[in-house]
Amino acid sequence: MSKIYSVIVLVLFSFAVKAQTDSLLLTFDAANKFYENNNFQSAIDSYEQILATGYEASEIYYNLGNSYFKNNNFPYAILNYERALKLKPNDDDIIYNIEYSNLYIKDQYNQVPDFIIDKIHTKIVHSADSNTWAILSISFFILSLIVFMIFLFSKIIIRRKIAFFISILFMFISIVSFAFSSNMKSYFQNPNAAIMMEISTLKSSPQTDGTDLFIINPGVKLIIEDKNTDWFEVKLPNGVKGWVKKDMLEVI
Amino acid sequence: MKISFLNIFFLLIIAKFGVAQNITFEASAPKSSQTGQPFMIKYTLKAPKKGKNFVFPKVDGLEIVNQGTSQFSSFSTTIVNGKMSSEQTITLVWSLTVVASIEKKYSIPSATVTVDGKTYSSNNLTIDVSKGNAQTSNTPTTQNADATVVTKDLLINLSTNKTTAYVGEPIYAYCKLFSVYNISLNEFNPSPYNNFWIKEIPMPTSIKAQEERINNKTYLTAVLDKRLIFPQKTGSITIDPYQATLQLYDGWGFPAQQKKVVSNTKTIEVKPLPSNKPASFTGGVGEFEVDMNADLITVEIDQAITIDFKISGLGNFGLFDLPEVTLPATFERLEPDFTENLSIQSDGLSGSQSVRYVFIPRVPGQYYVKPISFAFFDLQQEKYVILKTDSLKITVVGDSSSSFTNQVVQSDPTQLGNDVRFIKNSVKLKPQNNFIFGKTGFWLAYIIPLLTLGFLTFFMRKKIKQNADLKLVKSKKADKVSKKRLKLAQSYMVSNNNEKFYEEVSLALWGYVSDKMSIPRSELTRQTVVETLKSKNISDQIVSDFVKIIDNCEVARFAPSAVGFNPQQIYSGASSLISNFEKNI
Repeated sequence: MSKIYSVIVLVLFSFAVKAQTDSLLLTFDAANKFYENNNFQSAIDSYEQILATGYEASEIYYNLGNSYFKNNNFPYAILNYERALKLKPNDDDIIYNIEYSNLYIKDQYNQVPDFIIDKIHTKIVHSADSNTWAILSISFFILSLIVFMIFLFSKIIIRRKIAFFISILFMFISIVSFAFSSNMKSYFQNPNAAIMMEISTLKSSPQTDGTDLFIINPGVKLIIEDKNTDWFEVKLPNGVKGWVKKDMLEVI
Repeated sequence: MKISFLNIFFLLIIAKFGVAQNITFEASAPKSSQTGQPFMIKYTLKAPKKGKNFVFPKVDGLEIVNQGTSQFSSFSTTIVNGKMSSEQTITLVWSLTVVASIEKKYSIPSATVTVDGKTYSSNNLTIDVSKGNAQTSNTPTTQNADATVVTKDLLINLSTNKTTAYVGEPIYAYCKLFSVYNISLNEFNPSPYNNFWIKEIPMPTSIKAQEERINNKTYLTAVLDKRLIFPQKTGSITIDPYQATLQLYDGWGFPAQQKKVVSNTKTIEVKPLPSNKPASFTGGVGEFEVDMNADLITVEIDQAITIDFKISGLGNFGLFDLPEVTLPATFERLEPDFTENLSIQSDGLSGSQSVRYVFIPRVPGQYYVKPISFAFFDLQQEKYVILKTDSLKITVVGDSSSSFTNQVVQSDPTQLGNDVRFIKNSVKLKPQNNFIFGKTGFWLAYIIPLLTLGFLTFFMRKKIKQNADLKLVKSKKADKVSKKRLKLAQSYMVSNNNEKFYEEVSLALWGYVSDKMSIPRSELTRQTVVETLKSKNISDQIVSDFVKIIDNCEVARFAPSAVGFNPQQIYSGASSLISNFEKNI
């Protein structure tokens, strides 16, 4: 038993170690000061500097998005808001600012509504990040085993019955969390959405001479369906699919 | 007809005679004068016709600085012997302004003029010129300064009263015209005064020229433009020149050429104000006083109070902000009323600026108007001075509920604008793309507990077996096993193998009880079974049935000759006993 606990502690501790270098936080504060003094270009430079070190946070993307917005660079504002939202999917401020910024871009699409079940599923999966799901999965796996031991070693029939069911339930939760953790990891490693950065045409095929379908203006959010070396197959907010050159996009 | 002709002839003669008689040419001048002091000599010609070729004699020591002519004519009508005659008289005046440079008695010979071909001479003049102070009629201060500046016969000059100043310090600047000619101003373009804040000093609509004697020459002078200028940045600032187009006149007042003149430039060294600016400094430079007062200090609700704040003194009024008088939000503030009473002087704007606030109290209580501080830069002491008014205590009396609530009219909130929400100030940094999922430690976190469980199970398998599983399985299986045995017994019964039949029935019952009640085989006696059954609250009926069937089987097995045992009866008794048992447990 003590061996198990030491493993749990070890695993949890390794996640809890956040290499929060003080200098990055100072840069963050300085960038916020720039923003407050309406010096938006300097604020942008400072936030980008933090991100270049390999650290990130929803708040940095959000503040960067705000700075770009104030500099009237709406596509970049939306890109960074979307990145912030990816890390904090339920943040009210981010959602508001995305909606507000969308008023400043040229293309206005009628959204194709998502299936409600898809929506609920996405909402649950995205309610925590990959690492939280991983820890949850491991924790429930271990709990399940502990409860299973109660089942094994107990003499009282009723206790054995309850322990058996709880053990199965925990195992189920662990498996689901495992799947979610895997989902979230691939969601972040293989971005499935992008923001249009330059005005470009949506083509029917991944070729320069493919038929032009739509003109897409900067700032539009596209769902990535497929990709090859130079092209992305994307879906517009109105449901239209087509191919766009890779360098016209910035993945979220 | 003849007579009338003669009459006319006679008249003409008279007329001619009268004209000849009426021509006068007189000179007049002051009897005495002083050197450097201009004086006027007038020659007046009265004649029926215009005179020509006026010649003024040259006199050593006298200089004509200005000359002009004026002319007017008159008609006179005379009646002689009932005859009416009218004649015209033209009066022509030559005015000469002259200045004597040496003191002596001047005698001026007669001037001559020609009328109708005849030459007339004026009377002679004598003027006694004594030594005079040439500067008496002019301001001596400017005279010396001008003497170095005035190098041409015609120029405009830009002057300032200071060449070094602090930012915001008033400087007096003016533009003066000097001319030895008779001129008029056609066009005048003041300097733009870049980097200065300007306060123009009002000028009369027509500028009167004065005569000034500079460098032994008499100039017509006039100040064309005067203003106060306030430097707005530090460093050396050059004032761009003034420009003017002048119309020149000849000696007799007729337009001659036009001339464009450009003034000099001027450079002012502007010093910055010291850096230790007080918080309440808003740009005032000069010398000021502040005053604040209220017309009432105890008021009723809804009764207006007037608070006046006044800054008076000398300095750059208009270049600093007046501090604001504030009261809590329970006072309604009307638009403040701004008044100023300023006069422009060469050393700054002097006077006062004041703001009048009208407050209407809405809630009773005691309030304080906070003391107002006003800081300015004192040019005399060359340092900042902070003035502070006294605080005012205002008492508001009355009942608030009546009036204030009436004031509120509810409406939808007014949206004034839209913007993105503000940035976030706290952050938790995480490394990008750091995923636990898939790492070795992640998999170990599953494998290690699983192996631990496996080992525990392996080492404690005996205990686990003993504890639970077999008992439970046996108990569950007891029914099935006993039923199997009974079936076998039934087949024996059919084949009339009675001995085997009884054996199987009793084994089925014993085995069933042993499994169901978890009684080890070794301890299986009639005694223990009865006791165990009773302790588990099995009904007495079942217990006695069990004992009876077991006994019957024993008897039937070991004394087969005994009669009265029906195998069919025993078989059905045993199976009903087991099913009863199952229900009972």
